[in-house]
Amino acid sequence: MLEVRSLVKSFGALRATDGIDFDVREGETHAVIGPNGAGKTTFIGQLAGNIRPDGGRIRFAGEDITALPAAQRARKGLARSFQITSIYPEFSALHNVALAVQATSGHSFRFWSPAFSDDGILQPAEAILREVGLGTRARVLAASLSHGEQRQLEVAMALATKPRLLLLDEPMAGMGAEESRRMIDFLGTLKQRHTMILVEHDMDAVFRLADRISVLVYGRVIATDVPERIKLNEEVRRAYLGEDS
Amino acid sequence: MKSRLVLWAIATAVLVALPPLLLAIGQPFYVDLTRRIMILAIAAVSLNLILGYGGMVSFGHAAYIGIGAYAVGILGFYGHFNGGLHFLVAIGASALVALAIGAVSIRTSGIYFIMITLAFTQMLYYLGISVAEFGGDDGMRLKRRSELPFLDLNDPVQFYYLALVLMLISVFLVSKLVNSRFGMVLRACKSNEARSRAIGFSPYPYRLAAFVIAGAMCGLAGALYGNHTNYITPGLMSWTQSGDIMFMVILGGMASTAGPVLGAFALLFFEDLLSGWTQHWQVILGPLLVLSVIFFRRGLAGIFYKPDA
Repeated sequence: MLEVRSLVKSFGALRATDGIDFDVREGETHAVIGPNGAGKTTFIGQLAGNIRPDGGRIRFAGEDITALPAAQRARKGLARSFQITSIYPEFSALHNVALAVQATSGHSFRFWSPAFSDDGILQPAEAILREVGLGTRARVLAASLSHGEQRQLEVAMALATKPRLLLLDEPMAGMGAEESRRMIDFLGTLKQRHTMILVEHDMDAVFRLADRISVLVYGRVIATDVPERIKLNEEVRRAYLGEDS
Repeated sequence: MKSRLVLWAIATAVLVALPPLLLAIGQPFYVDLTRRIMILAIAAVSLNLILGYGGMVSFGHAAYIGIGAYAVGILGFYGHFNGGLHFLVAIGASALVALAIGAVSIRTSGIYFIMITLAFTQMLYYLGISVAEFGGDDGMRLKRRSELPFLDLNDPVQFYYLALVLMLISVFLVSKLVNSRFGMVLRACKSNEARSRAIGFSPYPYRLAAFVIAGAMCGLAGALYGNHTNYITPGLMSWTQSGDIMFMVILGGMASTAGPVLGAFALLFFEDLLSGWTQHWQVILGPLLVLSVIFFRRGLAGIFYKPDA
């Protein structure tokens, strides 16, 4: 589904991405972990199309997308959530999702009829809000939602674009224990139907959800394997799990 | 929603009733003033589309007033007085210039966008000054006003009603536009550009289209304004004129339907009122404007209703 080959990105003397090879198979949940400063954000930025790599190739669903900008990748089915909550604060929760639905239903050079009165957009948006557990909060201004609800809204917007691959950048960031638990349960149901890349610090979540894990250290993938073997991998323990967790 | 329509109906009724009342009490000057305000309100409504809803701080919107006015003046100079042609050329030329300016400036953002739009308009301003054939710095008098079927623009009251109708149409058009799919993309890209890209919207074509629509609409205002003043100077394109239009939008309330119209009326009525009292009216108007921005965060329109979700 996704194929990354010898991806390189430098900022000055710093090699933030140092020849990464990375694969995501259809249907799997592939977690990316690594200590702070390992280059996870830079890597995700290149997958999503916000950062241009210096070298290497990214193929998505059999197509080379290395040169495509973010908006076009999104239209091809690569949806993302952001580490730092990124929503439309002055729109209602429903309209946030409705915009994402609109984005995937053809071009938007329609100047006359009201955007959000047609059921082709609002009904799917409502269904997705219910799915992520925000059904009763649809009319609330996104800015007024709690932090946890805003994180759910992010996922809802990613889902609304009918993605083939979900790129979740620390979906649990800043959540309380109870909220995290619910989010993990929700992602557990999501992974039945979606292919996902999950970047996460919460090791509980990673080991519960991931089918495979890639460990990123100093811009390199030092190991990719099933969770049980990653736990036992000496190099990983030294580089990451033993040090700070 | 209902109460807004009622407010609009009342405001329209007042504006319809105004000319006969003003003429009855012997104040034809105020018919002219209100007409001028309504024409500039069209310019403010058009700027609100890109500034208020699109987040594009164009500091060169007076360019299209100038282009629209010069379209009338130059066509008249060569002996064409057909009003339909005047308006068509004013709108078309403004749209083309907006396309060119927008294509370059929308690639930038923030302070660069402001400066580039300002720079383009200054270029047009100096172009107006340098072309001696059309009056240069002194400007040019219209040989005749635009000639329209059924309407005589030399009749102040008929012209007044034309301005009123066109102002209401422009308000209606923009309000339809910003709630359409197109408008939602425009507003979404203002609200959060990174998020918009992440769900698959490329902001550029939508912003450019809005920029062209706003330019075209302001070009129509320019054609009316040329007819209103009957005298066209490069000063129509000066940066202070751009600033005035921008201020109408901010004072009235950005991203609101009625805001730019309220702003135009408030600013220009006050200007007239104060200038009647004292020569140094700007000294009073300036602080008043500062205070109004501080105390009415959402502009004058914010007094009447809350912004849309």
